[in-house]
Amino acid sequence: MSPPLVKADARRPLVVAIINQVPDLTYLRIDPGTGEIDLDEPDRVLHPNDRQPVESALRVKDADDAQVLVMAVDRQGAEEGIREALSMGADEGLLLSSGATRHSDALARANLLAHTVRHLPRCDAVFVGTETMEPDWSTVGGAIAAILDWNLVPGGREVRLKDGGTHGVAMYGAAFVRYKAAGPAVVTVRPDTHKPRWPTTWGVRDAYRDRTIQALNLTDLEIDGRMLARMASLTETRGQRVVRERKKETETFTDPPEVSARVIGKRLARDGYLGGF
Amino acid sequence: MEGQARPVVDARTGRAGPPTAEELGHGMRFRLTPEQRLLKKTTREFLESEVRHLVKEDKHGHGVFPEAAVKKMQEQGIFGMPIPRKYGGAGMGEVGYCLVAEEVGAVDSSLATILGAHTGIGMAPIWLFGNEDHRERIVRPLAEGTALGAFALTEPTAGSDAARIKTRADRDGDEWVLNGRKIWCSNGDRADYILVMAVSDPTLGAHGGVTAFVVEKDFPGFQVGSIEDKMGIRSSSTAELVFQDCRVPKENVIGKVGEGFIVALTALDGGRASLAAGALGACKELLGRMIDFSRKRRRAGRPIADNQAVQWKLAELAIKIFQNQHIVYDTAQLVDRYYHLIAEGHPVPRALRDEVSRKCAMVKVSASEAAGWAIEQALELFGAAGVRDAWDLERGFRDEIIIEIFEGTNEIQRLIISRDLIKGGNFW
Ligand SMILES: Cc1cc2nc3c(=O)[nH]c(=O)nc-3n(C[C@H](O)[C@H](O)[C@H](O)COP(=O)(O)OP(=O)(O)OC[C@H]3O[C@@H](n4cnc5c(N)ncnc54)[C@H](O)[C@@H]3O)c2cc1C
Repeated sequence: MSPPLVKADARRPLVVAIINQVPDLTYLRIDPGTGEIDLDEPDRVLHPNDRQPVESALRVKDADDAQVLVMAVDRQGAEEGIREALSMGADEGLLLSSGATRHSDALARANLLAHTVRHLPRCDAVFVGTETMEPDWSTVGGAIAAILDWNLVPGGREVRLKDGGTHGVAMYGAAFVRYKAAGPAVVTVRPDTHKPRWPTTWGVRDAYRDRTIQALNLTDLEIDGRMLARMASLTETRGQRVVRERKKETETFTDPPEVSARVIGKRLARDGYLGGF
Repeated sequence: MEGQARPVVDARTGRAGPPTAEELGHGMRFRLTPEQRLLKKTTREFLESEVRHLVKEDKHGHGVFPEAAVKKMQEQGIFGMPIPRKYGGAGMGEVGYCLVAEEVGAVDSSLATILGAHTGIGMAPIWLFGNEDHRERIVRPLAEGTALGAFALTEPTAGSDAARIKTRADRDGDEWVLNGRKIWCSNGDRADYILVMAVSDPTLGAHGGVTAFVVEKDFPGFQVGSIEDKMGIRSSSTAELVFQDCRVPKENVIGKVGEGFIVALTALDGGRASLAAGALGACKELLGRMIDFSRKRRRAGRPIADNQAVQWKLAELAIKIFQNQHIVYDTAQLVDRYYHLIAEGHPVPRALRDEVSRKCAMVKVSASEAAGWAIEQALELFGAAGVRDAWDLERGFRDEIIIEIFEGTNEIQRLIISRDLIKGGNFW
């Protein structure tokens, strides 16, 4: 394959930030029929926790003159999510489209992302958020590292590039440890790592008018869609088991529906399922 | 072609078929672009997280200028919205500026006033009528947020009748010498650059005899006088400016000598649209609070929202918001086109100039009166809780009324509208 991928300059370091989208529940709507939160209606926005990998990557840009590439898999609102990351200061966006990866199929997505990273002109580090759409989203970071056979830096902060490797602080259990590793790394970034920068008005304008987003599909990437679909079905099945376990913890809310909905929404936002609260 | 309608070919466009919505009137289809939606969302989030908690009112003396909040907003790029990117601005036009002004107006009217005096009437006319040197030397720092702007027209003897200003500007070699007094200048004591209108030829009247100058804060002969102690928008500083043999280099004349009144009127047009956007933001904030309160407040065992009289207030305000939202952004688009022509040095049709003045006057009246009405309704709805400091409604009450006065009172706006109608201007 001749990778059409990015315009990045192979002589300068390149870091990737992977992002995800969630429903924007700034304007919470309740389905009057069922009394449930209406998840189909709202726009999707960049997951609040995914500003973290973007911020981490931008700090590498500030310190080490790296180029920042933002990558997202094509669920609804992915382009808006990438634009938001671009407006924070990222240089370029890649939108990966694959019918098989529409749902929460962590393994399939990790494969798609890893495959894409492998085809970049270079890549020094990949930053992935934790606790975003799926509670185990950080497993995507782990899976990417495993597929690429790269170092995995859990809970990374203050990550910098040096001599073809990375160094910084990693979190092992409850402890922060200074680390130094040769070669490229996948860094998972926790929600409380940095205060992400706000997109400036200049950034918003540039994100839409001066920055490019490349859309790639499986054919562009020469990936076997059936292979991804098989992975997707594996992770779907596991997902259902998790949901059944959760159902045991049913809690009844007795407040008026709109008050309850707000409480539930806040909790979901706290646990990283929703944005906009 | 029996039975089949013949396509009509438009002589102007050479295209067959019915006119598109675009051709019938751009306002019919106004929708925010994804870029504008992101701008609005990120501005709202930024203001809520970084600015709202900094907004405090000091009831003693003449209020305290919200320096920290302004600095943050400048760094965010909020003070350069309509200015093209190549002169340091965000390049998002009047629509982008209004979107931001709306969000700022929802947080605090003093901040909206500081932003408006700087952007709409202080900086924009220097970009519109200035030359390359003005745009690089003066507009760039204003748009990049490293300097603050202001606009000085009103004088002790000239308010609504601004054509009667008396501040004199006399030519002396390569300089102009200014003498006189301006009052009610928002940001006047804080500004690095002030756009000042002065009479350069008293024999010619306002049109031909007034020139626009940029006075820089350290020019000899320029002094800040007293600061107003106002009932509302107290954190926005309103100053008296004194010019005593104030020497202004001829390079600081904006536009042509004698065309200062056009500069001022053009600035006030765009300023009124953004002022209306700020008032719209205040209306939205109030409606949100009223809905919240009426759901939570229980009387006679049920939320007060169950009463129709309360529901009507909410519905009425929602209607006003809906109307104003459309006319504000429709007008902002029109101002964008108008400003584009001026900035690029194209001739501006008289009819367009009149339409802009009329529509900007209309949205200023409509949105400021909606905000004034909304705050009264909110106070009634909240009962005794509303007159307590904690809810900020009493502050809003003192703030909102002022929007009906500055940048031309609403009575004067009604004169602008009706004079244009009587002259034969369109009214749709
Ligand atoms: C907080 C604040 C900030 C301001 N900031 C600035 C600024 O930055 N720069 C600046 O130059 N100015 C500024 N102004 C001045 C403002 O634009 C004037 O106050 C306004 O134009 C009205 O002028 P006036 O106060 O002299 O009222 P007057 O002109 O004295 O009017 C008094 C009353 O008479 C009415 N009236 C007057 N003439 C007519 C008429 N022909 N027909 C019907 N009714 C009429 C008016 O509507 C008003 O009700 C500011 C004012 C305020 C309150």
